[in-house]
Amino acid sequence: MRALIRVLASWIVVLVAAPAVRAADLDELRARGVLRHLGVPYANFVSGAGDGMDVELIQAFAQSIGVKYEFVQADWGTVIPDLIGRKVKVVNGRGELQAQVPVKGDLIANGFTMLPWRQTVVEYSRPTFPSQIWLVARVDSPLRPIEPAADVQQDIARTRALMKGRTVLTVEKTCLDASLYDFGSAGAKVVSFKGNLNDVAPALVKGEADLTILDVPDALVALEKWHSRIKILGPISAPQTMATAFPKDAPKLLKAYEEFLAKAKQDGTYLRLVKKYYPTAAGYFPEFFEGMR
Amino acid sequence: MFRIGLPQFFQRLAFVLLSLALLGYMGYLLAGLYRSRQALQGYQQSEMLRETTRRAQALEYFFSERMVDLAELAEDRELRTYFENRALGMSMRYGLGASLYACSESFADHRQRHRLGASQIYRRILFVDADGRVLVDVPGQGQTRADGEPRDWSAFLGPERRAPLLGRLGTDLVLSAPVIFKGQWMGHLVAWLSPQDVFAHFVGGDDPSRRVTVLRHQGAVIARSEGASELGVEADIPALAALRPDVPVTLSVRDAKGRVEEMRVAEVPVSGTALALVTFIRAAELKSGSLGLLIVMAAVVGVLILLGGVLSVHLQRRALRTTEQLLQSLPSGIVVLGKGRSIVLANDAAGAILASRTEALLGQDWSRFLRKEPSQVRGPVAHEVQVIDALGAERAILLAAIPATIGGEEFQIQTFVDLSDRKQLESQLRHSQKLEAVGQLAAGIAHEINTPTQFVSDSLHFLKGAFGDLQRLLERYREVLARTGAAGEAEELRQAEEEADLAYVAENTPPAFHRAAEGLSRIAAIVGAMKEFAHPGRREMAAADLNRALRNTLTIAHSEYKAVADVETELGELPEVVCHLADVNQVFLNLLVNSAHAITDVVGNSGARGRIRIRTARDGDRVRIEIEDSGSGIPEEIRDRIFDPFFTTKGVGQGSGQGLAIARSIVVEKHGGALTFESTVGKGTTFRIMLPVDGAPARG
Repeated sequence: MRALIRVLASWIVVLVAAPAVRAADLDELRARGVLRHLGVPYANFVSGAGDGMDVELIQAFAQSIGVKYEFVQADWGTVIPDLIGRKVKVVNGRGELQAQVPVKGDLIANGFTMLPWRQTVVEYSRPTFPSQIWLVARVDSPLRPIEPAADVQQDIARTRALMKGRTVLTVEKTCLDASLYDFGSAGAKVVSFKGNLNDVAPALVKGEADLTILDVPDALVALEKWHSRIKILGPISAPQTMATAFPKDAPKLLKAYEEFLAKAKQDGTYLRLVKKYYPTAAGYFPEFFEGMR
Repeated sequence: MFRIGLPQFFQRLAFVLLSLALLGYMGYLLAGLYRSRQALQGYQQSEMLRETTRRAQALEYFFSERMVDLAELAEDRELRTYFENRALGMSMRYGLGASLYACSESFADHRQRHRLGASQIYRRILFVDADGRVLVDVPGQGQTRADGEPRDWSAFLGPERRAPLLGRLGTDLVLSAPVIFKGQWMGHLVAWLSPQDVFAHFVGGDDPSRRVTVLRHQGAVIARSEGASELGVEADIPALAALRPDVPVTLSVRDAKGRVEEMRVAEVPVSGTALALVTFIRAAELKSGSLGLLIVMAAVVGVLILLGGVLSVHLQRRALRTTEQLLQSLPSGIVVLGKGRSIVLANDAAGAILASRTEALLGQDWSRFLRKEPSQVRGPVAHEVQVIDALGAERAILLAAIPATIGGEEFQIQTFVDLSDRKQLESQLRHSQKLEAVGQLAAGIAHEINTPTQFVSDSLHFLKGAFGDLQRLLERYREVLARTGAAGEAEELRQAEEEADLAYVAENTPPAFHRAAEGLSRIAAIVGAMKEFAHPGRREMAAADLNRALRNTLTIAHSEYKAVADVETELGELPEVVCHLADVNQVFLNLLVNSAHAITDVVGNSGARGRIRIRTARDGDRVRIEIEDSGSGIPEEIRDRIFDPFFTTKGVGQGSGQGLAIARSIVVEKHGGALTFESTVGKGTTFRIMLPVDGAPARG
């Protein structure tokens, strides 16, 4: 009975408190007059210095719907709760909503990989950037990059085989979270990196681990910055995509964003930002960017 | 008529010599022109070679720069990163592809940065690895990757090809540079250039009508300037094989229309490449012209000059003729005196005044015509001098002398007018004035005579009446005496009558009164005629009765003809004629006097009488007055001179020779009428006066 009362009480709390933590949809956002952009400084999506591909993209979106832009910096551990107003726990590949937290933003855009568990708690826009998780080593590593096979799963298997007995830098609650890739079964020793994602590659170069994983956009930046210091060994994941995340209860905002994005891809705004922040991406992923002006 | 300066022969000789000198000078100028054109041809050839060399050097520098920047591209950081990543074993799928894409971006940036004017230098840049695989390919805008794709890259590949190479693919120029990484040959960079773009930038701007330039690579034409097609330099020309670097030659080139044209051609190699610039200039542009052509030109120019000279002389002569005609048309006599006062020019008026042919005056001493050298005639102020004409007659002229200097030679221009006419007019004027004065005097006298004549006439009438009364009184005395009867007293009275010759007085006194009255009547008629004849105080024309005027004139002239001729008049009905009546009376008087004199010449003192017949009639808008005499007639030989002033056949002191001249002047010039005559020697002469009724000058 007590248990039943607690459950009922918690439901009542949830129901009563729900309006307070509900994310804002387009009408409310317009009434407020400000679009709050949740972002974690990462790669060239959100530089942390006030610019970045996703910063410029969301600024343009805010302008398109006639509201002011506001950047709300988050971290990988809180960025989703800051969006949906609930803490989230990943259980069996799904996100479980936990305690309420204040909603701090209206959307997440910082090279936010479309992961299955995330899709259970947030709503993604159509993909905005291609990605994949690659295994990266220092140049002096004895490990040789794999010879690509016809099947990416074979490539992943060959790459994972290289990890055995090696330390791997990962970042929890990000696309580089070790839990997403089952490094334990690969025999790798996971080293959780507490710093910013942008600092993972330098940490590798400094020797904080034998290996690290980077998503493709970050890897391209790292290859540019640390050429002759790091090498790509092979893929850890199948090809992924990144997108902008919205609360599930903001369909109008999502729809407005989709319309804006389609237009940006057509009028050249989007590809211009891609070439500005990831000069090689369009050439490296021609299929993804095909059709854009 | 002129005679100034050199004789005509010397003038012609001078003209020929001048023409020859001019031709010689033209020849000298043309020879100079020939030499200068030869020098210009040499200079143009040198300039053509210099200009071609300068352009070839510009191309050499351009291509050397391209080889340098292609060598720099071979050291591109992205390319090196690619090689490093490849050496690390990275696969194209996982990372290495991004490096290669970065290379593409770098190549594209390189291509974008290197420009030639507004266009990019490189049409395409690619990297071919040692296996002949094209790893990076950056085509230009609008260029597909298949453009100029070689089937075999071996021409550009090979570790031994360590130096940049400028080759050719089709019509494109291709630069290639080896890529060396860590001492190992990794492949070649190959860059496409448009030879036409490069050519247009460095060589463009030729005037296609005179100069054409082509760019050759190993003998094949790969770029050409505008106008090459028209000049037949479209394709390769076999004759160019004979070209030697830096040595201009003349080649025959068949143009687009199949015409063969000689062209001056110079080839200058572009150092460091297999390129050469070839410049074509039409040989005609450089030719100095053949000697024969120059001679023809000289002949043409000479002929033109001679024609110009002839034309100039012709124009001068024409101007001279015009001047001469102008001089001839002047009414004044003009003679121009040269050295020694000989006449070098004279006009026809001078000849007429001096009664000589104009040509005969030339060369004569002017002084011989002058009666006395007039010392005072030294300037443009005219003076009257006497000259003796060629016939020896003396006449007065008004002479002015004007000094003139023509061509450094001093002349004196003598202009003069004949004063004969003026003298005549002056004489006529004086005569007219004299007649007018006489007329006025006669009118005055007539007036003075008229008054005493009047009271004499009145007294005569009184006396005549009184005499009649006295006669009747005497008859009464006689009758009374006879009736009273005293014989003694009667006898005494009879004796007194006899002593007084009373019967004679009584018989002859009345006729005496009659004659006196008739005489007075005639005096009155003459006085009246004189008053009307003189017609003083009228200077303008006025309507007049010419029949009455004729009667008056007959009265005035009565004394001239009464002794030798009888006058018959047939005066028709005339309208009043607008005229100067005094002048017309003068004409009638002159003609009547002439007629009387002509009859006198015939009858002399024989007592025979001639006849003067006067007829008047209207003839349309004119009146006709004929005065016919039965005189001696006018001899044929003098008929054309009878109206000349001062011409007379009368003895000295009998005639002034002005009568008919004045009559003609009055009738013809003053009234616009006509004065003619018909004459038969021995029978007489009829003068006919025609006067317009309205006083207007006669027409026709």
